[in-house]
Amino acid sequence: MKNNFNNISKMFLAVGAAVIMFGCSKSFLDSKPYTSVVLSQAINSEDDMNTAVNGLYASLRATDFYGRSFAIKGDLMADNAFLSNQNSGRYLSFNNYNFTKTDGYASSVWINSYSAIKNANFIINSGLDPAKSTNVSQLLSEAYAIRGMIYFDLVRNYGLPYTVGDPNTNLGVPIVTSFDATIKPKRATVAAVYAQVLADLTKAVSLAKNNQGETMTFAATNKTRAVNSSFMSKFAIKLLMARVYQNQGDWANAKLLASDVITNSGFTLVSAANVLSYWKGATPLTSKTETMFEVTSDANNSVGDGTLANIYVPKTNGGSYGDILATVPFYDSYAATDVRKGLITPSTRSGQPGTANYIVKYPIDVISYDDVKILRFSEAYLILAEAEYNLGNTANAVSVLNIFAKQRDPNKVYASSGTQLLADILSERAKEFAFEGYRFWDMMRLNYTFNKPQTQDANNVYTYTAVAPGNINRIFPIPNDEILVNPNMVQNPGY
Amino acid sequence: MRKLMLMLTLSLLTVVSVFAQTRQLTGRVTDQKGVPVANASVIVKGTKIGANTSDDGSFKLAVPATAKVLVVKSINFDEAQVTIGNNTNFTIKLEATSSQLEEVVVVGYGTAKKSNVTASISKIDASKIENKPFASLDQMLQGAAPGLQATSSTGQPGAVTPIRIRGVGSFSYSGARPLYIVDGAQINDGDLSNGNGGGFNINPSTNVLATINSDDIENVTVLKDAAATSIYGSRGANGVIVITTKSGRAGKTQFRFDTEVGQNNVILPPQAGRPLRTNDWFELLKEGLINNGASAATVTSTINSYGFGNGVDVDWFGLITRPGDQKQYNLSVSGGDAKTKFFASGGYFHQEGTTIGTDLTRVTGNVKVTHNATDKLSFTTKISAGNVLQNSALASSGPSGGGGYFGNPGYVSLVLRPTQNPFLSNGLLNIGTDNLGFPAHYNPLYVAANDKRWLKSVNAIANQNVEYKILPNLKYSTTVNLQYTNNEEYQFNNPYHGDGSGANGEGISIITRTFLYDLINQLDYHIDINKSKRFYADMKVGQEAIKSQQFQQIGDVTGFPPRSDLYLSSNAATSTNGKVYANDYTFEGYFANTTVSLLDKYTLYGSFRRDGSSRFGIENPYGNFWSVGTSWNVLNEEAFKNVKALSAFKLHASYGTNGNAEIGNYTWRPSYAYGANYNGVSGGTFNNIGNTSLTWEKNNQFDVGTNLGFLDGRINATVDYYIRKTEGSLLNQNLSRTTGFTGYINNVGSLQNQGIEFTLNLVPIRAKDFTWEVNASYTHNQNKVTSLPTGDQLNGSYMLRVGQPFYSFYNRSWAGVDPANGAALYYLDSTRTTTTTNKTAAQLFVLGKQADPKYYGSLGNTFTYKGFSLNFDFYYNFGNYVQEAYAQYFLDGTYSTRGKYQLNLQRWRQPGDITNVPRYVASSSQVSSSGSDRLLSKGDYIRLRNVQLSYKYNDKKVLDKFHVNGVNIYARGTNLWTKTFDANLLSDPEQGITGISNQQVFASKSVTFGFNVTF
Repeated sequence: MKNNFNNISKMFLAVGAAVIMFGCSKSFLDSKPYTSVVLSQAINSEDDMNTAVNGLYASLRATDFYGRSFAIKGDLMADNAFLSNQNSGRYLSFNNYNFTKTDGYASSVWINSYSAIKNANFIINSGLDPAKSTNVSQLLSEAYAIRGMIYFDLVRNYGLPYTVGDPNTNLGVPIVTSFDATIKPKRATVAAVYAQVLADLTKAVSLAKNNQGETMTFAATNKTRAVNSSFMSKFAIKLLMARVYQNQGDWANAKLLASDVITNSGFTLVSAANVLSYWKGATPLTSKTETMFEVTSDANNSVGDGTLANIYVPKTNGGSYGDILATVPFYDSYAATDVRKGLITPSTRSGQPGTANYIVKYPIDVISYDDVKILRFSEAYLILAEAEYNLGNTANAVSVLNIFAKQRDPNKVYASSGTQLLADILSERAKEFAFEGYRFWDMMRLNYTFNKPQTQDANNVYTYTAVAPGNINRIFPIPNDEILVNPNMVQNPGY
Repeated sequence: MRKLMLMLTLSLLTVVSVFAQTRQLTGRVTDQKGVPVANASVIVKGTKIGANTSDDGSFKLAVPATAKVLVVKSINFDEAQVTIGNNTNFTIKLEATSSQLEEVVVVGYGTAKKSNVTASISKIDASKIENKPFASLDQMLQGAAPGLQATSSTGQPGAVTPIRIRGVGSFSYSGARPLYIVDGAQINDGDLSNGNGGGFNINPSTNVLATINSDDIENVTVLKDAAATSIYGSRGANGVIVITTKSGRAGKTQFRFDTEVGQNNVILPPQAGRPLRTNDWFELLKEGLINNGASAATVTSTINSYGFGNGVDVDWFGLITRPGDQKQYNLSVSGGDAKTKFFASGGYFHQEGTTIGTDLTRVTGNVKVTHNATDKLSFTTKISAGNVLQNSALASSGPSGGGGYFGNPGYVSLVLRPTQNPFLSNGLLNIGTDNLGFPAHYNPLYVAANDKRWLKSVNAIANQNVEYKILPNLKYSTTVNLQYTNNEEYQFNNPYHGDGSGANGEGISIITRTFLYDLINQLDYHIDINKSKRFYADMKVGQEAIKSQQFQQIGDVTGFPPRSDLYLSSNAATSTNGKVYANDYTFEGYFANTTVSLLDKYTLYGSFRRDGSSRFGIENPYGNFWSVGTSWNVLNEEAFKNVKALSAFKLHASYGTNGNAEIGNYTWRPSYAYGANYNGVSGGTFNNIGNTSLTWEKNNQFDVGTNLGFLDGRINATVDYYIRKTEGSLLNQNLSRTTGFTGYINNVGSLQNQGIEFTLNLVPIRAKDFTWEVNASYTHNQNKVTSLPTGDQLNGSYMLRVGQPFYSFYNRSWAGVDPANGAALYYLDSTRTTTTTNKTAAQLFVLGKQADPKYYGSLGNTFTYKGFSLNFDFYYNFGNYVQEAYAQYFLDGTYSTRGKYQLNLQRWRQPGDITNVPRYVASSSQVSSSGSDRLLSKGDYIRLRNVQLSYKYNDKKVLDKFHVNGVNIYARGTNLWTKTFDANLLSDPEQGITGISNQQVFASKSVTFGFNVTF
């Protein structure tokens, strides 16, 4: 009996020891992450909001977004550039005008846009009061401005231009201003999206506290933030508004805002002598020279090889793919005295018949982290000239155009009128903003038919596709992966 | 460590002391029928002096004059005691413990008598995995067990071979993996560098299993049904692979030396998938240009610009492949006495891949010591470590890995034209950027010679087990298993030519350290319900805690000095990335099971486990898992006792549930994460929706099976039917992208696998000197998605659709070539009634073609004549399709200036041509046939997996003279022959579980010669 008791007590002892040694507490199962916090701890101070706004800007950097594809689309789908037959396999559907509903670019741009909008919404809805802190006010202004900018680019990509058909019935994109995982929203009309864009930009202007070059101070942490060209400052937002009005054909407002920017911003145009160095120069700027807003990258925060320099600049010039070439007529459209001619390098390319006009606008010393310029002061002049033209003030239009043109080609003097004047303004825009993603949108908002070069032969003769209004590829398909999951989504015609 | 040293010393002393004795005993141990019993221990009672019987049951033992009684013990037999007296030669017959079928098999947290197991289990013996010319165990499991699919996706030595047991049971690729157990404890397996922390992975073939020497493995047991796996609770849903390492045996110290050396040769893709040589290539280009309307002048200038007529004709496949060395050496020593047993081994393995720049070298060491401190207390300590150096090609593996690196030899050997000369006239490597050099894709010979891409991996496992017999029938044991893995990966892209040239050279280093501990406490209780010992119960209760911690350091640099020999980061000018990531997970479980057995006829089994994990939402971290099983050993019924023809007849059935937890460690947490930096300043974003109620994916499985034996075991068959249903699957539920997210993890979606497994073992001839043995297995699995949260869901190249297999290709349907004009035709929609030449107008739909095989298995024949043995093992795989992910570049005229497949020789050329290859038009605006099932080929194949001729030298007199116990020599051929069944197949049919060819390192076949000796 005693023996038995001993054994039983031993058994209990063993079990007891095991439980004491290894019995787990609830904390054993709570393995905390190393790089994130719960949502409620995210934005509780102006410093937190600064961090979140940085996150929002970082999300613009994605390759299939402001980082590269927006700029590529605006040129490769227009009339001055084509994809070399020696290419890395990128952007074929842009060059060939053959989007399908499963197009990867259309899908990625959509996802990246709404992901960035989600980041902006998270900041806007954080509950911090702009009335109590000028820093919060400025940061909220930037978040509103970015959201407005994204909706503007979304509606241009997935809906018909405001100026085509009836924007009150044409479908734009869904408007989402707060987070809800369960939504399956309908597409808002083009007019409704433009209204949202203008509401955001108006709010942004009203909250904005800083112009470029000013410095914000965060009292609680004794940190500062220099408002440089990588942030949306007060007049950058106004220039963006002018661009929106231009796309709506609202010339009175476009003139108002473009004039405001030219007169009051304190910015200066980059001079002819400095154009080439401007494109190679260090960024971001606080000097109020030319760059009003750009998305920056640096050695540690970049999209790797998904940059403009990587796709435009060939290996022989220190870049990489060199996939997209300027047409010979476009290169020839620059006068010899036009300093911008130096941003294109005529060359030859293995396997590419004819001249290879390489675009070398983008800095190649560090191809993985070049900056993407989104708003430049030059645009204010060209919007103003076009507005004056459309408002019937020919003399003003010519005058503004000449003020600008002299800074690029000292010999250039325009004296045109009528439709030639409009053509000159558009041509000046094409030259100034070449390979920055503008040209296609000019064709779109003016509803022009144009010839898209697709291949080039040994005599620099092109095979063209005439792209007329109504060509389904002028707007992206709504991504199929959105349609599969959102029954309220309506596909664009033809896809 | 000190304890270990002490034990080692003790055991050595014991071995030495044996030689000090004087009186010599010999004898033979057999069963009641006179069949020799090998490895029985014969010990002088009350001492440590003893020996083990050899294969013929004989033993030799030097004993002290005082020795009185010998104690003979062997697994499956009752202990026997024999009085020594004056005898010096003994014949000892052992009584089997209860029945004749007493083989013991590994089950969850212990072993069980095979005859009473209620579960579906396959055991793979050491002989099947020893000395194979494969770097890792997972490769050796192909065809080794029914219900286990192992399909490699690359010929890179050491790469992970993905395994699925009883079909794809989880939506996530990594989640459908089985659980690996080594010596009773869970380990981190697979690629510990991939997808964690920053998601970096420069060496795609990091594989924990490749650090383990398969010669140290005693056996591998595959646990398949719920009765087998449910005790592993949260992680057993997709099967469990239990690895048991070798242990020492008491008796004379035995040495064993094994070596196998030989050569690996490439298995090139089928002829259609090999590149065109120069004449054909120019012919194709000319035709393509003319078909595109080019003038004669343009054609001439174009072909001239590619070096027409200058005589260069490069065999790219030939240049990037080579015969590779294959060798391994293993030495082991095993021995001990009644108190202490040990096993120690060292191994060296070297394999050169057949693609340039690929190889693997492994060094392993392993010690296992078991010591019985008292009758009640015993310890087992095992320490094993493996060090792997792997050099790999610039290609990644895995389901989503891109093979499209411009320096990947498998890819560029097809992309490059046969006119791009890799050598200059002076014999140096050409890195020129003109058309005849390498303007876009890189010279793979230069890249292989100057870039670095290595992995150094150390994996150490230390396992300490203590057992204490509290009562004769109550055992308490504690196991502490520590696994330490350190992966050091480095990649250098030289500054001149290749992916690093744009940045003046790039260096990327990733160091990943992972540490896992697994603590198991358990009590085992055996109760005899009546005195006959034929009605008993085995019970087990236990507790387990697992924690894995990972730390990963990443550093990227650019700007190297202008040379290729100084490749470490410290030489570079700019540091572009230097970060540390960490991530941990924990599991905690309590388990119990009971087996009740009556008369060796009826067995009832039940198990229960409650498990918690850090990977699940705060609201639902725990799950309960259970199983029940039963078996009926029909042969032991009186009615069958006299059926002489029948040698085995058992039925078993089980049902139960288990779980799956293979998701990200923090996926359930709604989070705002840092790292979205801007302007050199920290940035954060709302990055994960999370799901606080996230819980286990549950798997319910029913299994019923039988094994039947006839004619004294000359015919043995097993059949299993299973149906397993995965519910509340861990699936990324797609959301409207307008939420800002593409989806979130949720317990939604179900899958079902049902199938049948069949094995047959036949001995058609069993003569005195000659036997012929046949082993066959067959597995048929039918997989389908049974529910989805939001209807059809696109999953890469597949469509998830209710009622269809998980890996259902979603594509346009190719309708062939119009004989009148050579145009590519596609079916407009799934009715396949109307064709169109406008590919973009053709609808994508589920074609009824799947990536996973419908049936697979093996067929082996072994002929033995005296000491000679000839063995053939075939593996077969049918019913799946392979997608040629890169074929669009090498087939169509869209990329007319790249290298082209020989399949293009069959192109349409004139009206009336009946072919499957359309008219060739060289133009970048030409629409390729990618995204259509033209690029899906049948993946059916039969492969001669192993052919081996061996000779076992058994002249005992000669062997004894040299103090050798046995010698075996053999020649082996691996993967020597492959038969495929689709003329359009462009790559090796074995392209991983996902069936997508990704321009990987080519597969290999090898011829090796081996030799092993025991002494």
